[in-house]
Amino acid sequence: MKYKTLLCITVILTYYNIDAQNRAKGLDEKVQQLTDMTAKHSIIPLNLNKFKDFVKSPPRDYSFIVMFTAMAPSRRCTICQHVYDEYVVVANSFRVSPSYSDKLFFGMVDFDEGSDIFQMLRLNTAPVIMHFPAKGKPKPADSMDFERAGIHAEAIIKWIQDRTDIQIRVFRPPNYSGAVAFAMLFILLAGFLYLRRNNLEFLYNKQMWAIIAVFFCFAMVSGQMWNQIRGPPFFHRTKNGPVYINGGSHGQFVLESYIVAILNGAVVVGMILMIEAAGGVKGTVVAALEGKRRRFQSVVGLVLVCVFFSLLLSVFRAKTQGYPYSFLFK
Amino acid sequence: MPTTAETKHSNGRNKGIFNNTTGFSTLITVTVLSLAWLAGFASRLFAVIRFESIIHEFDPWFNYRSTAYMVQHGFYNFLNWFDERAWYPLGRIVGGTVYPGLMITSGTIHWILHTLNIPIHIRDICVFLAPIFSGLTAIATYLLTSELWSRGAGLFAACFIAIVPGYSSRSVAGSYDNEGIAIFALQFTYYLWLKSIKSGSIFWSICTALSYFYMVSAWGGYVFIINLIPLHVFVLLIMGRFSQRLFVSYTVFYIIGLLLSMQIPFVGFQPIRTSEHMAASGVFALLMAVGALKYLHSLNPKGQWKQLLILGGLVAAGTVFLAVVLLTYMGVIAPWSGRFYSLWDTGYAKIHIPIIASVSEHQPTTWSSFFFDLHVLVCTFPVGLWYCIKNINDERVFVALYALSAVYFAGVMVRLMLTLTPVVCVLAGIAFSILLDLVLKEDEMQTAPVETEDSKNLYDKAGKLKKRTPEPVPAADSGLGMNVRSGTLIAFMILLMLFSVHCTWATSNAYSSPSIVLASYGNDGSRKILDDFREAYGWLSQNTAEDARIMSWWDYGYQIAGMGNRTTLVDNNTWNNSHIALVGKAMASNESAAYDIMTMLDVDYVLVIFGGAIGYSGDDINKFIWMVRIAEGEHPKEIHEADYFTERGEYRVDSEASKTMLNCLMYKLSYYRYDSGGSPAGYDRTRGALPGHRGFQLTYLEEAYTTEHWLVRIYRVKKPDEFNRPRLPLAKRTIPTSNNLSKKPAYDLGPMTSKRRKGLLKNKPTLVKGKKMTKLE
Amino acid sequence: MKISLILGLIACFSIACAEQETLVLVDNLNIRETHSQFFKSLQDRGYSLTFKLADDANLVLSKYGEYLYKNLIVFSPSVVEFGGQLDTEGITKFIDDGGNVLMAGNSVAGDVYREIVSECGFEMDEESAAVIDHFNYDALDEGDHTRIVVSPKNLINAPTIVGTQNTQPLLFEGTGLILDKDNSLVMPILTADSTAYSYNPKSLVKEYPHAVGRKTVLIAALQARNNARIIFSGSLFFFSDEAFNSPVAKVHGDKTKASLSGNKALAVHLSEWAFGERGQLRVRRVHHHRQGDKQSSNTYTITDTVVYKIEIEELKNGKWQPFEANDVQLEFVRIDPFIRTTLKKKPNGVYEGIFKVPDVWGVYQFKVDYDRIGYTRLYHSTQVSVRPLQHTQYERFIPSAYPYYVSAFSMMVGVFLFSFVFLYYKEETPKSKSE
Repeated sequence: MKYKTLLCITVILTYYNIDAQNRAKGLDEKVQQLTDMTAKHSIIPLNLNKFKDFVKSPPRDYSFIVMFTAMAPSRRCTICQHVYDEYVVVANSFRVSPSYSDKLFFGMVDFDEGSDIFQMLRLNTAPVIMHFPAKGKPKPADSMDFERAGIHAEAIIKWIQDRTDIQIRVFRPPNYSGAVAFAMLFILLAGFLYLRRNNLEFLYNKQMWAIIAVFFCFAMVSGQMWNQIRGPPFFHRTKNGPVYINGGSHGQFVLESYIVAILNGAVVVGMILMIEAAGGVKGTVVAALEGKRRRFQSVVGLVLVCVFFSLLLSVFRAKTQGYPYSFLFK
Repeated sequence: MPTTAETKHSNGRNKGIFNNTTGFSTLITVTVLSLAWLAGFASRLFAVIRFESIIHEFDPWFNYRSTAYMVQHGFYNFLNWFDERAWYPLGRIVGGTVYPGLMITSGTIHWILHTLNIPIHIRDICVFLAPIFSGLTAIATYLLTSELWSRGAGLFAACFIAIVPGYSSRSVAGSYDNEGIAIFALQFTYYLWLKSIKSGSIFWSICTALSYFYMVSAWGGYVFIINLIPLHVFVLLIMGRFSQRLFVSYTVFYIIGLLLSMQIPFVGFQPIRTSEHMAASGVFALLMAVGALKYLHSLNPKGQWKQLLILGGLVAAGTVFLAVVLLTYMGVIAPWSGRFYSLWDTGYAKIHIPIIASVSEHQPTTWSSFFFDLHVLVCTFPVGLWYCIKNINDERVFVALYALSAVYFAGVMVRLMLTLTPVVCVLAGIAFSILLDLVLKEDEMQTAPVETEDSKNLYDKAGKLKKRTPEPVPAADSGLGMNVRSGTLIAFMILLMLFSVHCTWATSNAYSSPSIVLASYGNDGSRKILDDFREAYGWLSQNTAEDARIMSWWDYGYQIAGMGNRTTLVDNNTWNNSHIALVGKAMASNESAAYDIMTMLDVDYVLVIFGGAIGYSGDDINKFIWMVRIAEGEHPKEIHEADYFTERGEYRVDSEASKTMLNCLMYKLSYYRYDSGGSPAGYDRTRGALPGHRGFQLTYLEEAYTTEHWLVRIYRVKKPDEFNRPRLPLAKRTIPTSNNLSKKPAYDLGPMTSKRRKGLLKNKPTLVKGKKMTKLE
Repeated sequence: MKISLILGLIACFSIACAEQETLVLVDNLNIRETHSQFFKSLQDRGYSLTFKLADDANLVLSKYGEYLYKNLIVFSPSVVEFGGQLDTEGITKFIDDGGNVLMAGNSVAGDVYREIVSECGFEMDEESAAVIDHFNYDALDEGDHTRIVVSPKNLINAPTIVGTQNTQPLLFEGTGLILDKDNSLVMPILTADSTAYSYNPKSLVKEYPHAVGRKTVLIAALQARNNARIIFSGSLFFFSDEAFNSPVAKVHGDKTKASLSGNKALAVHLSEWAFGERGQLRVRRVHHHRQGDKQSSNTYTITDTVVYKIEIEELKNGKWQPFEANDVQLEFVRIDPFIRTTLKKKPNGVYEGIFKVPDVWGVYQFKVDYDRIGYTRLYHSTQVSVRPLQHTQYERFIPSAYPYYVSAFSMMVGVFLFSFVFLYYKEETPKSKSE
């Protein structure tokens, strides 16, 4: 009895050994192929059978990051392009990073080559970045969540480090476009100044500078910086018509900020009109323009100031709960 | 309604000027300024009247604590104060990590009053310091504006700054914080700077340096000054407005200011080692170069000096710039620190420094908060800017730069609205005074116009005077006419009226709650005071050991130290991110893992804020996601932010919530045996949800205290030796035991009911027992 | 001889005056007779034993919150339910409040025993199970091979508990115990041989026994974190007179023969340890100060040299005497230990460590955590704060700054001279002022 069990155990063991050996062989050559391919391009394009025997079929000791995307222009997937760029950055920086090993490979499946892969994995959106761990099935956390993490290479690398404990330091190919553009601008400016060197009067044109400054103030005061950081919608569409003014005082729409800028501008213009009508700061010649026109001008200014300021006030009141005061309009 | 009163005065003032009775005008100036001071002071007292004379929210408590320490132990002990109560077990060198200006100011006041035998408690000085300084700020603003434009504009500006919400938001009575005095120092430094650049006298520039020194000692915002003044000088150089006055004032100011600012321990060698300060030294070098060139030029005025000058200037600028860049690369100069860098790269903090992004006042500013803080000024100050630029001179270059930079920073961070407010007041004051000057003085334009008085400081000495041509008397009908002017006047009176009522409303409603004591209003308008915070801190100070260590989120560190007088692990000066991350990790991990961390840090009590019962939205569960982020930043292996969200990426606490969320320490401490909060019992009003995981027990902690409205909950961390015997729970036993015994409650009912109960022995040779035995088997 | 006798007397007195109230719970009062030697040894050592039946209707451990007994001996395996106020809760509470317990059971022991035992972190095999060893059982065994002979090599290596001279084989008859592996406080004092297992001797072995081979613990001990001591023996027979003075003769294996079993010595030792006559340590005095000055301080400056002295005593024969060891360690901890050093032994139980405070400021703790098998856990920690240098403690004149000093003073001199030039120079030069 005992002997029998012993025997069968030994049999099983030997069988396993053989199995393990040829499995190992398959593994080795797969890894070899993969490394060769990676040496060619850092991202391995996968079609169905490649996908099957590199990513799906069991003998693996490496984990595989695969991006499912639809790059064909006919698909009109704009985000795919961005994700692809970031993904390329990740793959390249992995190839140059010190932690480069044959334990991690980057692949890519384009919908137009491998739509059947999409069906196999029941994917109906692109782009998706999935991680196929060395052993076991991919869990839900193994497909990256762009909404929360974002599509930046740093985010992808962080996610990869979560899944496979491989630390990659992001190495971006330095982006000279900004510098080049800046240099171009500078050169243009310099050349322009050089051409106009004999009359640089326009630099002393206070009107221009004043307008620039005031417009900058309008932009800032109407919260363009908030828009730039938070990226709100232009305006909000609801079932009963579009809404231009955000209800809460902590949010705003882009259009809303433009409206506010215009209101501010109108008030300012009105005030300037009044001052100019009244003779300006320098008390410059007032006899030149006769009284009627000046009166008209200053009345216009006054109306501008009052009306638009009260408009501003009412908009503000609409946004702020329980704000008691208003002027002209509710 | 101080503003309207003031405007009347300033109108009267104009007439007075017209009558050339300068004494009268001075009297009115003094009256208006004192009225402004009074109004500013009064409008900041809402908190004291509504609640009591108490220090407000978070940082003020630390300032108060250290002020009290300084008053008690003297300045040098304060300088060397090593506070082992904070940041346990790291400790904190208070003297080297604070801007001592605030403490020194109030300490000095306290000392003076006591030498005059006026026994006033230091707390009252701290409470009322900011309102008093608001008056000084008004005066400084008046001086600044009258340097820029005219005294009328100055009075307007003074009255605006006295009551504008953008400034009173940081300086109501009880908010005892650096900003309260720093704005005064800021304005006064700028005034002195303009004074010195006008006069070019060493005296004024040394005064500037001294005032700058006070500013450095008061607030980290001094960096704004030390970058804005060099920017001013630089722009003046570009505009070809170099002059000996500029040279003298800047060089003297820079050197003395540098030396003085390095005397503050917290600042130390930063002025020569960090990029934030490099602009100043670069401009200094540039100014030297330009000065040298000018000097050479003055040696022989003939020859091709113009090109040489421009060329030399450019070369000098380039070399200076390159030198700074090179030094930064070599690491001699530290690069921009995160807090400043996040001002330029607006997305930076969100990605890299969650602890900065987590603070609500570091968020960008919407237009409505601009309007809320500045009201009518927000749409009138561009007018002032317009006219300042239209007739430019050295000072107005400065104010233009000030306005532009400040408005940019205010757009990036709500908090920096504080630096925008003064310049907005200045420019709006200028705008209003221009208009009202004209509207009011027109009839008297026959005789000498007011410009005779204005022209002194309206035009600089750069020789634009010839441009101005005093006009002959215009025809009578060329005036605006009475009714237009009166209409204008009335309209602007109404605007100013609106402004002042808005200011009062905003200050009283938005900025006057000492977030220590909460007030809730019933439907009938009756006010209910929720004093849970002080209740909890009082409990701590009364019922815990002298050296008990309290773990809480960093927001409450200063309050625990200030009111509870107990040791805290982290507090509001967030100097050590990893320590904070450790606390965040403890809050975010499950009970046993958290217990390891807490024993490692010898935590005795844990304090959490839970607003679910009264719908207080600023509680720890709402901040929790930031704790998770900060913890994840330091411990990416253990903590994953995604685990705390539901599948669909929502942040919820009800039964939908993720398991990690429902089992983390913060959740358990918040909802432990929570049964209040309306129907159904245990309903969370803040989140508007029923907690998903309820009726659980705590193993390693026990509830120590919960305040009246469940707002503050304190738990005691059990010590290891309270787990005396390693008992084997029924689940882990391998030997099956008949469970009727192992059920404790059923079992020890026996002694309760019948004290003298006979026990049972097996096979005891008595017949009675024998029967029992048969029954038993 | 005489000396020892005197010592013994002294010991007796000293303990007698520390009268050790002990409650003994028995099934029936003739256990007094069958275990008389053991009880006698206790009484000789000054314990006043109170014998009660386990089902006595007025059993109380504590009255008005005061415990009437210091130690508890439970020799009543067949108890199903204790009488009076006594129950598992009561006994565990007694332990948590620092009482010592010595329990002995046998194969008939019921679930109360299992309750108490598993409250202490180990387990007792099922009812009517007994330790069986077909290879080394005693000659006097009647067929079940449950009266087994255990060689003293199986004892735990802790002289404080089991004493030094255990050469005689031990007799054991009763159930086996199972220890919880992830439980650091429980000690297997006596384990069975590798050939033993624990099962009901009357029935066929159907399923795998709970305890097999060396895993079968015969006597287990627990020292709770509050230094309460519990000894649990699987066999009541172990303490009986019969076991004490019966010869031992193994049937199989090496035919070990002994005229007298080692039970008595071991039992006495165990009771001594259990009732805290041995292995009791305490900290007498702790003193730490900056090297050079005498009085102790609670704040040190970084890179100070600190002297830390701790005086440890051990209870020997009822008297606190200096403790002798060479492995007492000190840790200087701020979250992690910054310094860990072995303290030097000085005369009369003083241990001293001299070290340099690290160059990191913060709040530190001196920690001495001396935890050895058989001894009470000795833990002492004092909190001190290490502060950075004060503003007066930095050195004043650093050589690298001399250029600056020179320039400053030269500047002063220059200004002084220049002021004269400026005052007495006729032609006024407005430029020089502004330069």
